[in-house]
Amino acid sequence: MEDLAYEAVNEAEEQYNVELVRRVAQGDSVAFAALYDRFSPILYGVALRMMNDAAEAEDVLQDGFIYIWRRASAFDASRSSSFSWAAMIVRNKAIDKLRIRQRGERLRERVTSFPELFSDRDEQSALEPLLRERRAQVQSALLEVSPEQRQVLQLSYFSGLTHEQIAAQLGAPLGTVKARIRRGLLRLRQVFQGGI
Amino acid sequence: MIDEAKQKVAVDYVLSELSSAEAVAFEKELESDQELHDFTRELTDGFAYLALTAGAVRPRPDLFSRILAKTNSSKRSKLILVSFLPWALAACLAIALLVLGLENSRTRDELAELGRRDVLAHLQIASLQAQVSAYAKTSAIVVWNAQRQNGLLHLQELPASEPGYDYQLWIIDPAEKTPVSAGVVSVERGKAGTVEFRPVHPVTTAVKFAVSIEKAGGSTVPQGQIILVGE
Repeated sequence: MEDLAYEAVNEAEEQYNVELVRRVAQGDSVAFAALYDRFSPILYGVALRMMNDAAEAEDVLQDGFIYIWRRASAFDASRSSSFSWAAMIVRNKAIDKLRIRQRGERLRERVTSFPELFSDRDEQSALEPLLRERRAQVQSALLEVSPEQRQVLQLSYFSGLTHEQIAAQLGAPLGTVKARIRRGLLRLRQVFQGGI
Repeated sequence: MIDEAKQKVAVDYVLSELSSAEAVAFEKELESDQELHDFTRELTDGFAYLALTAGAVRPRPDLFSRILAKTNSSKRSKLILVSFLPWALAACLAIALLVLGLENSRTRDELAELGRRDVLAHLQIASLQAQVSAYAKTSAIVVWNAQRQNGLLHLQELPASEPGYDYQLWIIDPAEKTPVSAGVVSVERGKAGTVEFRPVHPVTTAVKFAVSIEKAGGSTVPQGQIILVGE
């Protein structure tokens, strides 16, 4: 029963987010502000972790949300959740900036020395209930995968390195890295199976 | 069933490891293969939610103004003042209230039964409007369950209360001589939040809801300024 009710809340929450994106596409800046309030704490956390620099992270977040404002009409709810869409936009902006500034080496060092599952720099209260719940689910899923899978998943997500670059950095065969990423991702997929 | 080879391509697609031509070809496949489409969406969401491991950090407060300025928006001030009752948020709150009421229930059958009884029909939703300009940007939505005598109040952009004062929620019931207190409410400054409330004693009909500024700890009857009202 609780699962069913929980799913209903999640569905309504996602419907709300999708509605916000739809309104943003129509130029509704109130909806834009609401979307920013909901997603910016975690997306700024992502940008900070990737850039390791507050000013650059702010630039990334800014670029990401300007893109969201301008391209909201391109959001396709059948292809990802609204949060996934926004998160991937900000991540891509961070990767673009990292590549432009050629800071890969510095980033790789930092990412690989980041063994903990979650950053200490964390304001959970800034998250909407749905994202808090998702966070717990991701944590649970990551605890179930092997440390090696977890490592490559996090490298893949936060460094923007290609599989080949990750393999070179870890000194592991490319096939092994690909397999670890795939298995880890399949486990994460199970968490969100059935749509959100 | 998605075979392993196809799974590998889907993973590469999600992680942007495919060439442009390969990605276009894969997207064509997605259009014609619903199972692969769903599988890829789940992979995408699974990967994207790794973002949550970064930890949440609030950006500095003025960053959004900077972003808004870059978008050359001119609609914000106009829209913020109109009644903006996000239907889906109201639905979220309504369902959340239902969940709260069901926390002691045990079976899916019970939920189904409640659905048949149209429990949601007993919920009352009110959008509270600012009575003073200082609260023009504040959004407040109440979902009230008369049967269970409890409710949820969702607040956005509520300014911090002055030291020594609290915000207090009231239920206006024609059967009562004075508004019935539903308790002191607080949300972190500038943030959105939802609080559950109950009146100090049962109310017959909740015709209006109001928020006032009262001395810290609240009052038994409203004594301070009413800042939000809705029905």
